[in-house]
Amino acid sequence: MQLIRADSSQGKALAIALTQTSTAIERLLKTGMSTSSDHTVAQFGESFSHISSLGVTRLGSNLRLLTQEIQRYVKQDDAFSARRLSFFLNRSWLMCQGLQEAMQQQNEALWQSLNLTPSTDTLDDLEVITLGVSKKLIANVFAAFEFRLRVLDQQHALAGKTLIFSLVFSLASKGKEATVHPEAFLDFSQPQNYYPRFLLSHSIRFSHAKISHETEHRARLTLTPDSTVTALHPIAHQDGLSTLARENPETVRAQLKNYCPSPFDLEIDLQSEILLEAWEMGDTRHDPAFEDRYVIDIRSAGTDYIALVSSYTEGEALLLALTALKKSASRPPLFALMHYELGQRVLQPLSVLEENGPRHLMLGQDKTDYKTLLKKLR
Amino acid sequence: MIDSDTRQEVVNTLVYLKSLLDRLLLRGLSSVDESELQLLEQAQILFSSQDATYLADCLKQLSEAIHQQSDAAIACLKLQTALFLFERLFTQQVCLADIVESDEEQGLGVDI
Repeated sequence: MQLIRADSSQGKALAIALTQTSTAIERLLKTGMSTSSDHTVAQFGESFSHISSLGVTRLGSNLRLLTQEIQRYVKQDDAFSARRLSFFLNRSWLMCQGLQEAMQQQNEALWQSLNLTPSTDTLDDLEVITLGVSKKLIANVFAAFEFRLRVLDQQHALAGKTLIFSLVFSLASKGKEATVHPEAFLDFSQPQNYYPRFLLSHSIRFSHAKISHETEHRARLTLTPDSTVTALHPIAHQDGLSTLARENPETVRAQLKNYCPSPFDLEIDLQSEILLEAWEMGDTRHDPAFEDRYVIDIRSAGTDYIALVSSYTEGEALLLALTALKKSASRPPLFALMHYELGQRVLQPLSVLEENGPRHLMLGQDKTDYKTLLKKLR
Repeated sequence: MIDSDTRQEVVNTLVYLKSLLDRLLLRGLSSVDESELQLLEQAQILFSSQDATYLADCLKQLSEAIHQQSDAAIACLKLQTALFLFERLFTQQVCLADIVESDEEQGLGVDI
């Protein structure tokens, strides 16, 4: 997005909207959330619409998520999170300050960093394999699955890079609709006429998909209505899963060494996919700092990690799988996401690589009660 | 290099401060009590001793703003940002030091 001139009509309108939004955030902090009401939700909702209509979509997106969180608080929704609210309040305020400064000083670099949209390509064909899947669940709101893919063609420009494909399903119950278990969505046909579960069992060809380059090492694949998804052959260990999953330690070191944090980062922005070929694990314990998660010590090749497992429904399948692995005499290689937090290497275990391919640890059984569901739908 | 006791103290203080700021958002900044102000001051001393001067300054600004009942919200938002950036740099430093230690144990002698 082009830098807006402060003295243009668009610039003046944006400056007013940014000031009003900053002031509303500061007021909320001063008085606390107990003073928030439907009026507060409407006020932030208007800020989101107005700022988005001026083309400042990244801040707009933050404000949309902030408005949703305030709404959850006002409605006393169990899905409300003080940590999430605090995060989006801070980011929205900071972006308001940064955008104002960029406009006033006509600072192109600052403006672009605050309106960052990654470059996007369209690929004819891309053959991939899924190495792991993470699951994010916000009760009655959404279930999200993030597939960690590897390109099979080792000569491809994306070979060895982190490639992510996400699916998000709404869990909002409407009227008499029965609750569908999140894993059931993997068996629902998608607009491009494919079933997501095939991504777990087969190598896949994506055609006419879009690739956005989020960082030098990470890209995201998205589908358009014209994209096609074709299941190729069943995944087996002979596909060289370990070779595909094994990280380059020099790249991981270089990423850590060269990291320059920005106030707009997330902790997980500095992230690597790693393979622990021989690993030991400790007992599961509650995280003393965060009541919503368990911690498990993991050690591999002389390096200490902690694995985090949500203590909510989202983490049930992973906790069961890790508990079973702890009791197991031998453990297959563990594929995990690693990020750095509070001076530690933090793991999100995703899969173990077995003879028949990856076993996805975060995915549980589909416990949807289809009989009741069908009765309710009639 | 930072010793393990100080490292743990820094981590505990970061966790406490983040949690305090989340709680203050719910309660409102006027609800800060004397014990919380004392802990802000203790954190300021700890981070000053670690040469984290910007973070220590943000802690001081928040304490003063709460006492004077002026611009506390802005001081709070600045402190939140400073905490995040400090945590990122602290974590980077600690994890890089781990790599050097591990390489020294293995005799690689990589200069990081």
